[in-house]
Amino acid sequence: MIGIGEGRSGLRWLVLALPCAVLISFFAVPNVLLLSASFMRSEASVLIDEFTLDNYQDILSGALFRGAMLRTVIVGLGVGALDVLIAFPLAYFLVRTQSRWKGLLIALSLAPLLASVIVRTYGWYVILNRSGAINQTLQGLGMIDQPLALMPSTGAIIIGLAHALLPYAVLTLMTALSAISPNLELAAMTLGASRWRTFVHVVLPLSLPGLIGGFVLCFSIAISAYATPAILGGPATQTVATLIYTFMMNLLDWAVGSALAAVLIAASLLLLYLASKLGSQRTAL
Amino acid sequence: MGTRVGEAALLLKGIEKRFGLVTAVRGLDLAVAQGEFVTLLGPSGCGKSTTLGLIAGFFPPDAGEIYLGGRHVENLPPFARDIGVVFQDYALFPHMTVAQNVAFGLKMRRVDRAEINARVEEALDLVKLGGLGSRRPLQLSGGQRQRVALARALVVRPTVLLLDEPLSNLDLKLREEMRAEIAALQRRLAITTVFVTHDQGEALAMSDRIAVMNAGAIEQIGRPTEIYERPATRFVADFIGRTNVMPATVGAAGSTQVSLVTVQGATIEVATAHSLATGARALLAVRPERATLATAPVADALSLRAEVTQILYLGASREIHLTLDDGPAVIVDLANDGREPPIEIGDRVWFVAAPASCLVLPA
Repeated sequence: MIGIGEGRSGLRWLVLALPCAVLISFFAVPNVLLLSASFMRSEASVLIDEFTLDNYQDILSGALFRGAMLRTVIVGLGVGALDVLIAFPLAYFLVRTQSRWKGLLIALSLAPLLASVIVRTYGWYVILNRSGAINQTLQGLGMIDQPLALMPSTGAIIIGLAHALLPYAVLTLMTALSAISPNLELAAMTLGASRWRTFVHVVLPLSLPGLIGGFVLCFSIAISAYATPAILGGPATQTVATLIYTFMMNLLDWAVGSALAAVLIAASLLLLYLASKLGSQRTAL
Repeated sequence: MGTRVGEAALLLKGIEKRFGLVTAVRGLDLAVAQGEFVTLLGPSGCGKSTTLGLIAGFFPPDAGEIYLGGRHVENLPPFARDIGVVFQDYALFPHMTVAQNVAFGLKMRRVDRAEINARVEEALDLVKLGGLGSRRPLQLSGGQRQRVALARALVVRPTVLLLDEPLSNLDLKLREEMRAEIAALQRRLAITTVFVTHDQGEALAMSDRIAVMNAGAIEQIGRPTEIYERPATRFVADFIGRTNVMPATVGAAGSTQVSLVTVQGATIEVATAHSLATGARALLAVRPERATLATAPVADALSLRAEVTQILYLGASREIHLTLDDGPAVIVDLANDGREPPIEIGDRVWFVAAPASCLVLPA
């Protein structure tokens, strides 16, 4: 039997080897290269093998970078907050409903995942642009004379991303809410708690890990998103991701682009760390 | 039992509840007096838990009226009904300490902090959990959680205490301990209680009255001894304890006495409250522990020829399985008196039951 066990563990290593190789060669190595490039000097689009902190200094002192970073954080917070707010009642309904269409309703809620980001974002483009659906409707009703400049704007980026990322928040919150026994809500109500107080004292605290998880997930995907800010934003509403693209692809300045990317990754990791601390504190209570 | 609003702590009048095409409760009437312990007993799907949910206000009845402490409540939500509920899974709030769980109802009633602390402590002492207030529910054993749930429901001094199979998640020893304790607590506090269970032992041991439910209606309601000694229907006789049932025909029917002809042409005079017509079909029922075995027929008692098919030794008693000649299989419980009965499988014996041990049930 020992032989079979050994054979199995050998097989286990083999099964693990492929994903490990893929992760190392296409994730770990590029990240290390990216990180090292951020500490190099760039001259006429060529990286020079010489240690420097200038790239980071440029980013942190330049108004363009600081503006983009601020906007990125605002986009992340806005998308996270909006998605969690919209997803909560939806997830609650989907978890508690006795409808025989429950499965279909859940599938419908997650359906946005099936459409490409580009398609969804151009949908918002059609709605929000100067001669788009909203402006035409408002003009047709005679409520405005001049079309509103709805996009490019930070708000348009937030709306587009919030729509794209809603299913993530719904899924995370559904997991958290389905772990809360309906009897807990009934128990609170028999003890004299109104629906609102039942929500505040029982449902909300128990779903907090899911709320934090959904928020962090949407936040971290939103701050690194490229396509949506590129389409619904413009030169005046750059995010860190679009700025990285500009530096790497248009200006061919890989050093500053890498430094920006490193800052973005660091911000995401910091947030994940804080969230996991917060999460473990809640469960330890 | 009067059903005037003023007399009963809890009154249900003509309650109906349907879920889709299924009628869970049909035309149920129930009056529970102040301080009384009433058990709703029945198999799963009989409507007992639905009835409890209707009293608690988890869903509204389709028809009928509910009064709690004289107050008309069927349109009120649970939080306006002044009830205490102990759930089968206890439903303790996992993010709160034991003390916070117990304090919850008082906090919702905006009782001031000093009084909350005093009453929580008192309630925890009442269920023998003094000093465990700072624990989390997950750190407690099943029995302790049960006690917290009980304290949480009692501390608000509700009009009526509702217990939804609270003992079914405990192991046997603990269950017997808790049922004695809950019954004692209920009598001490004189709190009106409705207890839902499918366990006839709990129902018999704890209740002032038992309502046996079947298919959404109360089949029989009465004191435990009435339910056990004089079941009104075959369903009740079968559900509470075990019963040997054999077909019979009414010979001569008096006002309180009836003469029955049963298997093997045997005749027996039995007291009955049922009005039966001569020649009508009926059932003759005998509890296994009220029957005995004999080597010869016994005068003035129901004596039926039978063959022993199985003997089960249960410690406190022996369960003798018999097949009546030209009749159904029956069981006799022989109490263990320290001697081994001289019976073996295949023996020919007489199944004997005194008239006082025989019951007439409608066919």
